[in-house]
Amino acid sequence: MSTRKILVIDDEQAYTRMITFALEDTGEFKVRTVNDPTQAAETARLFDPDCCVLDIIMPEMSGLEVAELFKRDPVLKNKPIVFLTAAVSKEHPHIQHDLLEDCPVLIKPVGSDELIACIDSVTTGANRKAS
Amino acid sequence: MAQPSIMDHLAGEGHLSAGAPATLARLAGGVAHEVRNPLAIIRMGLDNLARSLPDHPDRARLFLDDLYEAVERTERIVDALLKFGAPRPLNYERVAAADLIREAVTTVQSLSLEEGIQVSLDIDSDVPPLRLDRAMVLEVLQQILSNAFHAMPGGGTVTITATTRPGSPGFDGAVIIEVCDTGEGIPPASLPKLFDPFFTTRQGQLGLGLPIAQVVMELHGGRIEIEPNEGGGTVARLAFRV
Repeated sequence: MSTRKILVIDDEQAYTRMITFALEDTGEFKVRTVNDPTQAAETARLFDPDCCVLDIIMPEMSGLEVAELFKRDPVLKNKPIVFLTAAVSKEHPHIQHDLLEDCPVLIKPVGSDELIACIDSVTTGANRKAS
Repeated sequence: MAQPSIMDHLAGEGHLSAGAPATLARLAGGVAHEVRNPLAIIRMGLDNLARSLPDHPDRARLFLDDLYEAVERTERIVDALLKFGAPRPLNYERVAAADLIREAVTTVQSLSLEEGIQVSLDIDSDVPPLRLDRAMVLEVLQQILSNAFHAMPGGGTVTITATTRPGSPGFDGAVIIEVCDTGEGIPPASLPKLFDPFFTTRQGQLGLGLPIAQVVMELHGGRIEIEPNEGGGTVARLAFRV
């Protein structure tokens, strides 16, 4: 499989740096990061990612708002999204949104293997729903 | 027998306004988010570290620095939450408002001296003693004074007043303590968020000071308000029932 391009949108700079190393060290991914969610759409259009890893609670613009913006954008609407958030738990999800039903949701903290497996599932189309 | 916690006090004896449970709910949500984020960094960082240590000592150093910072953040968050939510009884006592204010000013005086800030006290002589938990309310005053001092990096004046508002039918009397600063003021967009847990405009702060102050005031049957001061700066107002 050729190198896949991953756009990581999260306001935690240290975290996006960690994800970048985790993914690029495999040799299978090229990563671009965005710490200001208002810049996400513009960066996505330029970078043309195979998958977007998207935090939910961020200043200025939530991840759900970013995802809605993507879905309305003719260029970005089919980009696979993986939500990676500290805002909900598997036991007690309290954020309700259709996008969270349609896209995989990973709960922080998550290991690099789990993140890569989820990205694999959405970029190969084998499984659009994370466990 | 377990000591009653602040949560228990909030739930009982009609001490609080209806807004308090919502505040606590927001706090709980904020806790989950704010603690998990640094933990996420640690977890991913450890994965990276495990891969990098044998062959890339310089990169390992970079990862370690980030991990240390994340761990410190987690510790500060947990410390603040324990202080807030750990079981602790309320120790009511009669306290003169003037004594409480002077003690608060003294304990944060170093900040005002560093910044060239003048502190002015104007306490009415007829203000009655307050029945309160001295340590808890002292922290509220210290928080408010600290905020005022930080709002005036170029110096200015903090005026602290204590007055009595007489009661009337259907309305208890109150003692009002106001802290007015001549600082940069609060942006209008920030005003609705001041009591949201983890909202802060200052680097390195947790954003728990005012939410905790709000709960403490409600616990005492009082309230806290913060608004722009006419003529510039900010006024923080504490109202205590008498």
